[in-house]
Amino acid sequence: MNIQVGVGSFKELEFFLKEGAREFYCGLSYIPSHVEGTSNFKNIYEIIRANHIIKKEKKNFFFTANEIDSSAFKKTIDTILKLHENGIDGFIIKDLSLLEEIKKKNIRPFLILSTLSMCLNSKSALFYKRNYYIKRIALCEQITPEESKKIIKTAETEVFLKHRESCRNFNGLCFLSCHGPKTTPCLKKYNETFTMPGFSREENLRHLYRYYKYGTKILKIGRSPLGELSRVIFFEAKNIIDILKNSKNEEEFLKYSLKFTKEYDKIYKKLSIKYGFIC
Amino acid sequence: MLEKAIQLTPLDRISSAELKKFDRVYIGSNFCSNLIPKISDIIRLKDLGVKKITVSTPLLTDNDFNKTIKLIKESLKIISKIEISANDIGLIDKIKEIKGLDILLARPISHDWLRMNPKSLKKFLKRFRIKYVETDEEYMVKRLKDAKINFSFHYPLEYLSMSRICPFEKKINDALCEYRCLNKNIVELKETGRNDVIYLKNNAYFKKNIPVKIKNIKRTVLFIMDKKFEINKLRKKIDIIDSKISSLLLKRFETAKKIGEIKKKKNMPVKDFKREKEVLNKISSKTETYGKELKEIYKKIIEKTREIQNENIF
Repeated sequence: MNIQVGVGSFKELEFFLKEGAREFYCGLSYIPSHVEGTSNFKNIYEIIRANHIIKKEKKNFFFTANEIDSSAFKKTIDTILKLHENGIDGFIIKDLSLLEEIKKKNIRPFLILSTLSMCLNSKSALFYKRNYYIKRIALCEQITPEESKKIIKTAETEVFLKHRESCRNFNGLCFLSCHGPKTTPCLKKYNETFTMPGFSREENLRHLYRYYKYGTKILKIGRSPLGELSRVIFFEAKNIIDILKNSKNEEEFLKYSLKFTKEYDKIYKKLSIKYGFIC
Repeated sequence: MLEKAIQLTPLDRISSAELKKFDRVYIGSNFCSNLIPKISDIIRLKDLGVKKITVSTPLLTDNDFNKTIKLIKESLKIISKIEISANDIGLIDKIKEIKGLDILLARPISHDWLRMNPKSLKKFLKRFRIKYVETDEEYMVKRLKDAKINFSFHYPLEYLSMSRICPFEKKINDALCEYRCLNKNIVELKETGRNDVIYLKNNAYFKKNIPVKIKNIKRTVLFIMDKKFEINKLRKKIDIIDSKISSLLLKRFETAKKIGEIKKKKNMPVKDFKREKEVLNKISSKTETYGKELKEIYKKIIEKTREIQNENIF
């Protein structure tokens, strides 16, 4: 299992390249891509430059355009064409009309279906694969490895490091009034005690083990507006993959990864106080 | 003319008189896979005199996919024309060729598609033979008022979010469900220090909206929020509990009958005071609130069990 991580500056790129990330993705501020306030490269030329650096290291680079609306459509397709011409590996996309347009332009980049696309079964996966040449599917946050088995057989898959993800919604496409990690309404308490339910940490780690066993190749680190937080999550992910590779079975993985993630809780706690986000 | 529909889940009970106020009934859920209707639910509606039925389906895992296709095919044998409110692209793609079927683009995928450029949206609606787009967003209908798209407008709740991990069951939707959501038709959620309310219905979260009159809206779909409806839901829960009690009682009688047969072979008396006392004490100690009531009911159960064992002897 390899790590895919979001980058928004050359400093971040240099850091994650040095630390061994296998894949990188980025956005542009004028093209909506789901997470508010994340750091982005300033313009398309910076992305092309970043791509050259990544290519020298023989690693992959993707561009995210996964929450576009009609007003950004033309700008998005123009950006995709330009980045494709300049050798970027592929694109992370949700919008069906954008997929249709890419198909019409007769280009075949490596397309990753965004988790926001609500693909919960192999028939939907096959629909995207056959009609739009989707190569990989980012699995929804709230789908179990058992439910994903046929999807994993249909296409390449990637999963988030779910126990550190901030969304409680089933796939991240949510209309609650959320403005980044400081307001995350799904993590708040309602009626004094109620919080939206999510998988427990144990469940998430068990899922990760099974995804790995079933053949999911990429562990994705969700982008955060806080660079320091992304770096900590990256190190945690890297160590968890080591435990994954060295564990004899699921129980052994769970034992060591639970112990390990608890150590990381202390760091997150400090960061949450420093930046004022909910963890 | 504006068509008036009502949204029901398979767990809802509503009188035929009330149903008559609506032109169409939606049965199922676009959010919870445990609320996919069964063929018996379609038959029940038909028996109640409902002529126009829309089956609401949620996002489907592979397990639920085939179950839903089977339901659609069986429904078409009962009703020649049926509507499917679908939000799963795999399902929509699969059923678009089935004759006698009208397809509606359901929430939450419609929230997503409505943000496409109108030209592309219309192409997709045509390609997938989509009759109506289901929405609860006044803003979106207004934005597309000149696009010649027909809408079915859901109210008084506007979709915000959904979790596949049920807030009532505390487990993923696909797991065995005990329908704890039946205790509450709707839950009002308030964050401390804030006035805005989020409404929780089954496993989805909403805010309130109001029905709007815009020419593209061809249908309104009402979800009933009042307390009277909650009583009906609780009664349905009692029906489920009764069904469990009666099947367990039957099992108890069958087991007791076997004990009666052994007693007969060994020439033992049917009545066993010590055992009966033991059973009654065990049952009443389970609760402080209804211990006396449970004891009374169990005395009757033991009496009837004894009769069954005696029948076996003579």
